[in-house]
Amino acid sequence: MKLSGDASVYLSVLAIALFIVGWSLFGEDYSFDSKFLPILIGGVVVLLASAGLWNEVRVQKKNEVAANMSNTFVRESWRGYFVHFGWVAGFLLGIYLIGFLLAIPIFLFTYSRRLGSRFLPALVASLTVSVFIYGAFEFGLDVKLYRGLLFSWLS
Amino acid sequence: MARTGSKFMVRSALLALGLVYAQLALSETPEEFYKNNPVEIVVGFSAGGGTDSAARTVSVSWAETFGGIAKINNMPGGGTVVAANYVWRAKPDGLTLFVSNFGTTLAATTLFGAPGKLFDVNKFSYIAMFADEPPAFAIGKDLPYNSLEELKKVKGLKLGSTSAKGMPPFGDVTMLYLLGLEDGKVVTGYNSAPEVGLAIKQGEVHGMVFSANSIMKEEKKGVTKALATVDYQASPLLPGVKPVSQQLKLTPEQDRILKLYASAFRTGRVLMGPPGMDPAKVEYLRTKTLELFRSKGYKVLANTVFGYWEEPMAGKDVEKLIAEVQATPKADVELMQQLAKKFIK
Amino acid sequence: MTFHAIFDALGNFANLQMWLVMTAGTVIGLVFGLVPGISGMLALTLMLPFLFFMTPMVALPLIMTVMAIQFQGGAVSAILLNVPGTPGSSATLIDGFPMTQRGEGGRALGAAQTASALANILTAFVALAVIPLILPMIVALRSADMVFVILLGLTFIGVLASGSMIKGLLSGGVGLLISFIGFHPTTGAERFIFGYLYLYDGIPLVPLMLGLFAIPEMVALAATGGNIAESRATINGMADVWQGVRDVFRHKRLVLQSQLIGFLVGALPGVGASPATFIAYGHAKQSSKDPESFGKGNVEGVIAAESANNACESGALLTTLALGIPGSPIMALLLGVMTMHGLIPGPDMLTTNLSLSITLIWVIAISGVLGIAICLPLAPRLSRIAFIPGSLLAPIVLVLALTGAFSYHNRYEDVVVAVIFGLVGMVMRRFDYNRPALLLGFILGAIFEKFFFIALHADGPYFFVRPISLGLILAIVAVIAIGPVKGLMKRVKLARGEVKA
Repeated sequence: MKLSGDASVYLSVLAIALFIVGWSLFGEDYSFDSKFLPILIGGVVVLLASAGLWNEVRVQKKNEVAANMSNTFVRESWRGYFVHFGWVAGFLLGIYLIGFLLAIPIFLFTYSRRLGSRFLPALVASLTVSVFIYGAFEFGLDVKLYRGLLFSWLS
Repeated sequence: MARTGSKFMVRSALLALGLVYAQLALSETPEEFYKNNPVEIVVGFSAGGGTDSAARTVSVSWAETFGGIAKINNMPGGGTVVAANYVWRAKPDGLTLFVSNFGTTLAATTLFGAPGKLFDVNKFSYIAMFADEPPAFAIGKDLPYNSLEELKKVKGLKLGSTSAKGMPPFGDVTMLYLLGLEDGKVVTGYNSAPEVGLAIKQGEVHGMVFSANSIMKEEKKGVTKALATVDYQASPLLPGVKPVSQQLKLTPEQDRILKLYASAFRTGRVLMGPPGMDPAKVEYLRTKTLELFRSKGYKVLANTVFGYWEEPMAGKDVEKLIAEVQATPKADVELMQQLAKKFIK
Repeated sequence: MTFHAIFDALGNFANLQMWLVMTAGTVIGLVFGLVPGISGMLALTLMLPFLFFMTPMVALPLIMTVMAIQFQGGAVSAILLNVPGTPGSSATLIDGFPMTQRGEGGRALGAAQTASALANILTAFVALAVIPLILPMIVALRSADMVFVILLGLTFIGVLASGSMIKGLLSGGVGLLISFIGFHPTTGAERFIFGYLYLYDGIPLVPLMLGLFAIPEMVALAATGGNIAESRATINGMADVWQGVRDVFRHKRLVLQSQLIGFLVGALPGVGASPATFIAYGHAKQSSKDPESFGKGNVEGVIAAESANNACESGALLTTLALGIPGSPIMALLLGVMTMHGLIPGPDMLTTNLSLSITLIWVIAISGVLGIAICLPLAPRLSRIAFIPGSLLAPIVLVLALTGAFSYHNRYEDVVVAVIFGLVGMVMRRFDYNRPALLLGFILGAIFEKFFFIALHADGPYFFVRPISLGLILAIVAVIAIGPVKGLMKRVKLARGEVKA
């Protein structure tokens, strides 16, 4: 039986909570005070996640057909979300490599075009926002925006 | 032929001029250098706190002494280790300086280590130490004890402290040890001296060890009464309050622990630069910052901000102090750690 | 002496400089509160060198104005973009953003601005009245009692959960677990940092918040296309805004209760505005005749949150001045500036320097009026943000959010945290988990642990056997029980035929 999205999330939370409880108990030499609440709260989360998972699997078994349909639905909409999150992750990578000042206009222009904006509005928006951010942060707030690996290496 | 000759002459002259200019630029005196270039003073705490205020007394007075400007760059995180690492890796061009706490950033990390620490305290370029004051011990104003000797008989004395992020509150531990209070307890977790002061007022704890300045403020609020400085010397902020060394008869072991605490956990702020700075610039900074700290304007500012002014310590003496701390016998350090485990619940 | 000080304080407003300072502070607070990720604190940190050169009567009112107004700015981005402009605006978005999606952004803004301004004005008067009482009240609440105050806040995690209670509680539980990363507040032990110095101080709040709320909404907007407001939504300009203003006056009891909660929680040392807004929101939901509509665009949610977060500041100010214990980074900055001017917080601030303290309280009240005077006329235009095509809006907000995350402490790692929590927020949004509950658990987790262990070590295992603690335990039981009891009473009435299904 394939797990539904909900069940997968319960399982992930369960795994994280078990790790926290396990690490607190065995992984580090923490004093009682240091591990008490992570174990207590982690234990509660384990119980809740287990209850949620059990309930979800029970419901899924009862409604096998409906669950299959919802799996398909989940897969399709997730694909869309992950593609767009991929753009955000790409922006993050861009900041790391070439810094904010270059990554921002490139991201703004290419992403807004990808989302369907026309050329001129996308260009104007990306230039305006980039200038605003540069002016506001670098000059106004005296925040030296991250220059990126490439420019740090060059300098 | 003549035209080629004159072209050569012009190019040579320009080259010579360029070399002369470069030479002049490179040989800018430290005085000119600091007049013409802004300096970044890194602080390992957020804006508004005690160390930040101390650093700002320097930045505010910088222009008058050096002619240029100094800007503060707050870099909180990792118990000042983030800021210290940043300065450690900074270009040694003399434009990045650091105001740190002698005790928590330098001495304590040397003796007890610190996660993520990249620096070697022996290699920084020390310029001066200022706003140094001995720590003091105070108890609740309403408690019926007025001397350390009276306190020795108290059962279950509780001292409140901050949890110094990986560094136990050794001041409170030292006091309990010197008083011989085996059943004493240090309650950690408060964020600041005023929070401990509130806890004292509420009856949650009975006393605290903090800088003389903080204790003085709590006294002014009517919360505490200072009984001793945790040092070999008194503090002008707490007139009439004697050092613990003059009030209690200490065993040799207790004396060593007091010496360790008093030398390693000074509350003074140290102005310093990254390793490898030009010695001429370091010397210039050392001379001029002493001038800055001794100036009339700075004295007024120090009295306003800290409530007192104290003679600054020269960079060379800071280096000696660090060497002294590093020469602390390992057995004493281990004893201090054992005492911390015993008293901190 | 108090009347004398009040008149002295009023006299400080007779000069133009004070009004210029407050106007400048209002504009700064609004703008910085509005842009996600940069709060008034950043502006004030930059102005610090100048603040030290100003007289206290200029520097301190400027700080107070920025602090008081930033929530009004923060409410705008919370309502229109689902991105809290300040941590104190986190509860505002729960109902504010759904209202914007329905095309009622103007109404939400009108309600938020009015609630904020009223809170600033009314609690200023309350602060004046309770000056003699505030210190005894704070002194009476020990760490043991604070444990249960925070626990009371944590029980609202269950109240925030709409739909699946398990998912709501899991969200809060995960928030608590995340709060354990970093130093233990009392032992100083390094927990779950795995050698990364960056995690020493735990996960930073602002990048987490920006990632959790901004990224999922903008990704969803990009994925679904269109704009924030639903296609059938319309706007009616100032008429919408006035409706929001009227909503506040229609819910007088809610406004006063939320202000009281905000003021009292704000006065508690070291707690801050965020818990106050969630407690007030949770209380509003529980006491509402229509609790099911909360989280779907109920204006009462906006009113409660905004009333509380602004009322917080008056309470926090008294504690900061009287005890020197700041409730927020801006209060800490206020203390720093006071120190630079030789002003020591303590009883003197409520006796000898009472006129200065009262001046600062008046500044909060007046800045509320200035804030609403600037914000209300702009609200209809601002509400049109909801109709900007998502193809432009989503990239712009994402850029602002990630830049804001960086500017928090000038660290690239904060941007990484924001993106990671963006992914977490996406999963939570998709599977109907409660992001405000996670944030509440995260904020309260560290505070709860600190007070718990201080109480345990200072007072022993029976620390809860105190009248105040026992009273708070009863309040917690009441909060937990009120939902099921109401449900039971409704079923009984249904069975009796007293109420239609």
